[in-house]
Amino acid sequence: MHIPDGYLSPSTCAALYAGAGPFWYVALKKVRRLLHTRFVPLLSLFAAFSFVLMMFNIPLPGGTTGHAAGIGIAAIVLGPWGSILALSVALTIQAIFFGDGGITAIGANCFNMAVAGPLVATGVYRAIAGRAALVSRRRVIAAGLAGYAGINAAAVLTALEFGIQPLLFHDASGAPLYAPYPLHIALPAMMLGHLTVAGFAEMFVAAGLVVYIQRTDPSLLRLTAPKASPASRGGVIAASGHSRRALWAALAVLMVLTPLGTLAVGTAWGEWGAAAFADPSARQEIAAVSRNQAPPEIAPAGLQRLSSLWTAPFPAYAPPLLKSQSFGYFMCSMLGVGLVMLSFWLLGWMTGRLTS
Amino acid sequence: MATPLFELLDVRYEYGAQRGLQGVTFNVPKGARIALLGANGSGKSTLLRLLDGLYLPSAGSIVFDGVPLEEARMEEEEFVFYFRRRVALLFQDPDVQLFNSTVFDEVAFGPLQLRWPKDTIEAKVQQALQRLEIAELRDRSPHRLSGGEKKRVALASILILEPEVLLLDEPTGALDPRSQSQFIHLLEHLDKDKTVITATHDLDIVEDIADYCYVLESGRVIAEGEPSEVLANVTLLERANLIHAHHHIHGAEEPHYHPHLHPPHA
Amino acid sequence: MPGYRRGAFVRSTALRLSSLLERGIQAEELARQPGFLQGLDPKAKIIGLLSLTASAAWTRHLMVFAFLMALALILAAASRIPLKVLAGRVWAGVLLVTGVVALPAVFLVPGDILYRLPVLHWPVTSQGISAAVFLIARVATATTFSALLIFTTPWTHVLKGLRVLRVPVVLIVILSMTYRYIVLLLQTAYEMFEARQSRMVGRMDAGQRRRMVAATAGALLSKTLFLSEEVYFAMRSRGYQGDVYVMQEFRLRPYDWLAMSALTATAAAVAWVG
Repeated sequence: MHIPDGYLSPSTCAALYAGAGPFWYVALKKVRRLLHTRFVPLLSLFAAFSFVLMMFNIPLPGGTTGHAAGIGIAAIVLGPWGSILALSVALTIQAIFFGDGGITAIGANCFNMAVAGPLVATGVYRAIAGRAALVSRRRVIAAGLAGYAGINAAAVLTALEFGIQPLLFHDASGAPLYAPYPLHIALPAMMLGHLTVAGFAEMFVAAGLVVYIQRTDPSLLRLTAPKASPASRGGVIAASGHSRRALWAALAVLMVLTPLGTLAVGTAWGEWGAAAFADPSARQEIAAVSRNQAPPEIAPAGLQRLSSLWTAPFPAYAPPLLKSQSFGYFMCSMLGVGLVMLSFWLLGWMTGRLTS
Repeated sequence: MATPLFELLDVRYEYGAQRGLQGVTFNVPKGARIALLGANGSGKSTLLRLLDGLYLPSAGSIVFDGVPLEEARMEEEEFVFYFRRRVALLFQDPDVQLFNSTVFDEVAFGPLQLRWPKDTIEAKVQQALQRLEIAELRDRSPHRLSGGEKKRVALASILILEPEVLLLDEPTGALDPRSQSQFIHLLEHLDKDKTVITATHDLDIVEDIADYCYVLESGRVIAEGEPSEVLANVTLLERANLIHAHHHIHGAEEPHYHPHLHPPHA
Repeated sequence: MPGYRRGAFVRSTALRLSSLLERGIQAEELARQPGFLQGLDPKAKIIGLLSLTASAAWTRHLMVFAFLMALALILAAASRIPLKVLAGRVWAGVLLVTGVVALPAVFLVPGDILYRLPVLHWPVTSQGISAAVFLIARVATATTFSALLIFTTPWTHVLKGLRVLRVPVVLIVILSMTYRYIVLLLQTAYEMFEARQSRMVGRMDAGQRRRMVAATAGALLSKTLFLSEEVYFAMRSRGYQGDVYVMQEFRLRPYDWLAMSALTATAAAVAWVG
């Protein structure tokens, strides 16, 4: 999701430029030392590659297609700091040359997709890949998950940035001036698309490219895995038998936590569900945060139908039976998780086919 | 001949499994025009990069004008200024060489890195562009140039440094016949005192650009001699994969290579 | 699985790649024709148009949006940017994306209920309508100013103008090199997809399609890394030693100062109005 001009208030934009600034500064310093003079062409070419990669249609299970931002693969090949720079450059060029994403929002888009995304992806990749050999399948799975986590971290941040706009910026009558949806709408709306379509696209790109690199030039994976065990491929697969079970367990935990985390973040930021509209005390609370503007007594029915506008794969994510909005989110997230599981199965199958 | 400009002694170079050099020895006198003939992968591009100091020999030595090209040497700023000014390499793929966003920036890149005074660069670039008849391309982006134009810009970007030694990697590769002959014409009219070393597998151009040839195969020099001798030796050319065996079988033609049966150059 | 006809899937990516190339070329051509904004020094233009973009993000009055949009249209006319281009490449996209995003706000934003939809009983609030109108107007105005910058400034001038904004030289070199190779890699990717398309017979299942995309992306990555090595050697060969030196160009003429002051003053006035 590239945030266009006009969705975020100037102060939010400025804050996010300021937030990305130190990362850019450190990244420039680190990378310059790391790669000495070679880094100018390497980063440039990789940024160009990320840009082109974003144009690819990635076929997904269920017949949809998605687009990847290349966060996972950038973090794996270039390391966190190199990928911060390369992705920032790609996003900047998209904004100032192709009008994709706003110029005022370059800071925001970079902060989400080029700073937070690669950092999260790096963490996940390192945690899961550990010291596995460069050509091990564990690295492929780690890469897929890293991409998935990276793009979703970016999406959570984007949703938070959208979600705080109506709280902070509205006119005298209470009409939002920028992105109009509060967190309890912005968050599930963003996450639904990212936990599924965009997340899968990112996952397939990262995993697929790591498989490709393993077959062509595994040394490219060395930069972010200096301690990878030097074991040969045969040894690794034998050794990874028991570690794989642990990996799947970790994966399951991660997936259950994802929707819970989504909920937790949502409520923490002053979310109110549909049920709250009927509850007098909750209404008072809403009125307080909305500058004493009285909320309607009946929850806007559209609240429950909202996500259908964003989410192609689902006809409606909150069936009318489920009166609790939170339960609806949870179900929806679990559905996403189910799809994630399915995709991992597919991923395993795909890598099996590719590596055999 | 005075002291040679380049002295190569048993130069070896390894990278990966293939395309290395396995012991190359020869001298390049000042003002010589030399062709390195060989098929793809014979090691001729590697040799040019060694001569340009981009690669360093794994064993053996390369001496330029009395100074051995070694790692420590290539890190010295002063030597780099001196060496880069005197030796220039034209890359085979102009897309690699044209990495700036406009023709002007491209041609100005070398002088800027060598810290020429900025006020003289503008005029020098203009001269270089005019000399190659591409002044009108000054503000063009590289992706809006034809193949022939790219080659000219790449040549301008190295000629502006007025090097004594030109290393040309497949100068006519990927050009249409017309641009090819124009480009060869350009090369033939370079200053006579320049040393020009050309790596190519295009036998048509050898007599135009070289007075002496080395034939490479699998990282070794397998033959040397004047162009007319080398071009007449069909067995040698076949062995070096520069012509195909079925040349014989086809038609009534003599098993002999006739460079000038092909369209002559302008 | 929905059926993909032979090559339809590959063609869609190839089309995206080629239309992006065309868009880039169209913008470059517009930027090179004579006109008011094209004639301005890039520094003056970047600062002027960026401050107008920011002022569109700032304002809270619909009248100010109308004023800014009118200004944008006058600037477009003076710079010979056809309305057709703005409508097709800027406004259509805004309506399509932001319009869809903004529409539910009409029902979802709490506030004074003006009307209830029959049957569904969704409330239409005045605040909701303002929110939707604000969002669309703001995005349309800001995007139009950004588009004017893109359409009237050759990329290389944007780069040189960025130096005024204190962007480090090394970053500008990276930006410039990235752009230069984006075009090359777009062409390469396009050719790869074209080549695959011509070889394809019959339907591909989802797995095959995915493997094909992974293989294409992989081949492109190999090419990318190979090029980066080669470009590094090409730079070294011409004396690059880790620090980049560039020409200092562009001096502001009085005319540029005047235009820049006028544009930024307008933006400041808009910010003052609120």
